[in-house]
Amino acid sequence: MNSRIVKQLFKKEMLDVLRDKKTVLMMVIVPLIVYPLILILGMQVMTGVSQEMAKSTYKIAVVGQCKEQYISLFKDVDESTYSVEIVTSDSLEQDLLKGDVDCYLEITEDEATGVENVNIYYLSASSRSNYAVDVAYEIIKDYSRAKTEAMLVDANLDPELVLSPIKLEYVDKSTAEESTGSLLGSMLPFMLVVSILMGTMYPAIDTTSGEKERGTLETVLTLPVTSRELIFSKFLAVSIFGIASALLNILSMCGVMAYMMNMMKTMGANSFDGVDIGKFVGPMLIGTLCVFAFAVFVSALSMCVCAFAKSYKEANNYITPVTLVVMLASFVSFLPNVELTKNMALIPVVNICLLLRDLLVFKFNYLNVLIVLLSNVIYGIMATLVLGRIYNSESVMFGDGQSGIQLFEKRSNMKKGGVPTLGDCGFVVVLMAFIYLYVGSSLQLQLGATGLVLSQLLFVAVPLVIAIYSKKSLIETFKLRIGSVKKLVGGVLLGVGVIVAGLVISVISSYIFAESAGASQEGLMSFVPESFLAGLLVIALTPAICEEMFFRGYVFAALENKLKIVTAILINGALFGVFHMSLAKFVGTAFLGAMLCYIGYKTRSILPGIIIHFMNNAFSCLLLYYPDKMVRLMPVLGDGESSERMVSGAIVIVAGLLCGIIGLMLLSKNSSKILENEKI
Amino acid sequence: MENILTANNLIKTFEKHEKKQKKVSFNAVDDISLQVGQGEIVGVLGPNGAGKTTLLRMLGMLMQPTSGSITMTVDGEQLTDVTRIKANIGYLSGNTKLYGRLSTRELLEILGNIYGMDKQAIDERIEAISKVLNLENFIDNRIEKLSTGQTQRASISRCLIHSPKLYIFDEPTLGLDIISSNSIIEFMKQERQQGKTVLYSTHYMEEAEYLCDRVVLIDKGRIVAQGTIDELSQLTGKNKLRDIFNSLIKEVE
Repeated sequence: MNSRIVKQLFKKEMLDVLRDKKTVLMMVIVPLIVYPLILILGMQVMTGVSQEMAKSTYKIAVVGQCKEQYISLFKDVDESTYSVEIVTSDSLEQDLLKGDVDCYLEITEDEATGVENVNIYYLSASSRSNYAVDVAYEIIKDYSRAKTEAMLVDANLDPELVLSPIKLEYVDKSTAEESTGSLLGSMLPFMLVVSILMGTMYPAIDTTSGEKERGTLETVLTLPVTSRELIFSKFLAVSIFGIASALLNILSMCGVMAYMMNMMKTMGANSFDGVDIGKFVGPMLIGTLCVFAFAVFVSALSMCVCAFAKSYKEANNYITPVTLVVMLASFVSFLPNVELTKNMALIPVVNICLLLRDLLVFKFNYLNVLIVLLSNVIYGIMATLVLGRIYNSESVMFGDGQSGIQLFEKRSNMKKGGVPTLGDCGFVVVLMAFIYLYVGSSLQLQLGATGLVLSQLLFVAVPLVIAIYSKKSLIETFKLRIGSVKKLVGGVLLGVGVIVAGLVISVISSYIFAESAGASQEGLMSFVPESFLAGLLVIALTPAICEEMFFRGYVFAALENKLKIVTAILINGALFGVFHMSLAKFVGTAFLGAMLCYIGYKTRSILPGIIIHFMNNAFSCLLLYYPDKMVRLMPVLGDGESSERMVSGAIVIVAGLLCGIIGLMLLSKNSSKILENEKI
Repeated sequence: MENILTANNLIKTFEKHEKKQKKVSFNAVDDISLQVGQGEIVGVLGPNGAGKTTLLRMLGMLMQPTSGSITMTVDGEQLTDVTRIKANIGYLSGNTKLYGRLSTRELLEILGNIYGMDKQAIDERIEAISKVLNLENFIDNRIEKLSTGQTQRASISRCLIHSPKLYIFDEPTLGLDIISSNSIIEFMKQERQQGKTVLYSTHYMEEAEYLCDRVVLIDKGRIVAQGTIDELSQLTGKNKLRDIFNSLIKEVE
């Protein structure tokens, strides 16, 4: 890469973007003016309203028995605390609705016990009425207390002792900084993430699809510039905007906080007393570093998405779902029970939100900070690499736009047949992730095993509906054919080898991530039905069919069609691993997923995948229901005598290896001949 | 006459998705070999979809050929490296738009720097270009504020800044009014006088007749015929390029 060229291209991008009013507006005006204004104005309006409400005179009416007593009660009230006007009316209900009466009391006395029942009628939708009720409640509470005390004194009891035999007092041991931090912690990450996204969005669109739309991309391509230099300079420019908008946001937020603290102090609130601002500096610096890494990642991500678009409008369409996903993910900082664990620290967006929240209450460990920082850097690099691929692809650059999301086009424009586009596939994967996370997990929580099956069925239903809607060939997309017997046998045999290899991998990774493996086991146990057959259905059969249809069907068809086969297989494996949401299981599941892809690719049929997936899960199922028998059968699984285990382990591995090799041979041998036979 | 650009067996394959699920690949440029001599103006003619733009994009190194090779000879040195070839070409097409938010001068300075010129050389070159193309009045205005004719001149200045040896123009006069297109035609003639080479495509037969030393007729990705106008008229027995074109393209169909 030539630094002179990068510098010049960077200069051009910066000039170009900075002279676009929209970008500058989004980046500068929003953080610096709009949301401080909203916060400060909002606060002032709120305090203004509550002061106004406190000063106001409320119209209260009283009807029913011993009404006089209550009227005098309200009349005797100290004018400086509450101001009440007693009104009379014949049609109270209508007056209340009209607002002529703020609330009214209806009093009935129980003859037998002497208890006075007071019903307060009010409008919860009207804030005036709500305040009036508060006033009435306070007054009646005092009256009730006085009455109780009088009765106690009459009975020769100490009212103080009887009414409050237990003295309850809250003592907040959090330092003032911590409570301020937790207040900030739920709000700040969300606002920060959203505004960084907003800040990078326009430069990202502008430098990628904007350039295509304005026709300057071809001009750049005429220059003696490599695509790496081009991408790097664009990425540099967008990142600078991302970082700058992050910085502006942080500064502006600090300003707003300072202002709010000042205001609260002058108002006499003591919640910020003793807050030592200096204590925030350290966490702020660490946080800022992570936020910068995050901003760089977001820049690359939004550029990736926008690079597929041919116009501003199209890019906006593509980036909207990304914005929604990021916003939803950043809501995590509002969830009190979600903690920043090692697994969480790997999830983009979520990790930065949780880290910021922890930093603000001074609760963090350096390992997690490091994971967050590194994972953001790695995601950034990955996104940049993808971007590089996109810019090297002529079909995207000069493109026919066939990689884009076809789903949002008019249905009549969709071509019949074929397999889903990459864009569609990406969209469905993201959609599925959300459906699975929210709908799936709530189904599982509410319906247990039935929910588990239902949530698995989503994996078939969603891609099927979308494939039918977009008029794809179902046979091609889901590989709905049996294929030759030889290939089927080969695929299944290779699958046996894969399962054994998967076992070895999972044993190794469960050593590395000891705690995580145990946790996921417990999670599974709680859903499992009692009978073995039902368990087999829930754990083995349904996932085998449903997950295969989604991953090796819909997703793999799209990947395989556009990408190199190795890339397609690796991406599919990684996705499969990610969907299982466990760091410990990731390598094992990703391997299984990748190999299932390979088998599907070789056999052109979904069936072997389903069979292998079923066998794999059925094995865990057996282990779950009949641990003793299984251990007797395969001592390697238990923790018995080590020599016995060694032998059994060796047998399993050798058998697996043999199956795998025979399977591979069956799959690769004479494959061209078989293809020809099929055609005939 | 020495060849400045030699292309051997160029093929560019695109994948097209046809109605019936299968991917179909077709060759937009199908085995074209071509030589462009130093100091000549070569016109590339052909109906829509013949592969003109794809061919010129490959020759301008904007697109990579699926197979085949391109060599450029500059000052006796053979170049095959993409960036080095690009540095000797001025490429202009209807799709090479300019950065609207930059002024012409800013653009030229940035481009000059990218081409590796030093500051003094850039300033001198801008001075000279702006005189030739009459840019003085608007060189410091943002390009988005310029008229169509001014923009066209700014576009040409972009191709000139690095004094390239070869110009590749893809339908440079398409959609322009008489005055603007004349200025481009005159520009090409002037550059030829200075020993520069021009390879360009057009739909306008009269223009090609007036300007080109040699024409290359292509259809469906292949060369149908090439040579001087005289050679082609002997071949077909027609005088006007328009008639030559019609008879040759019909023959193929």
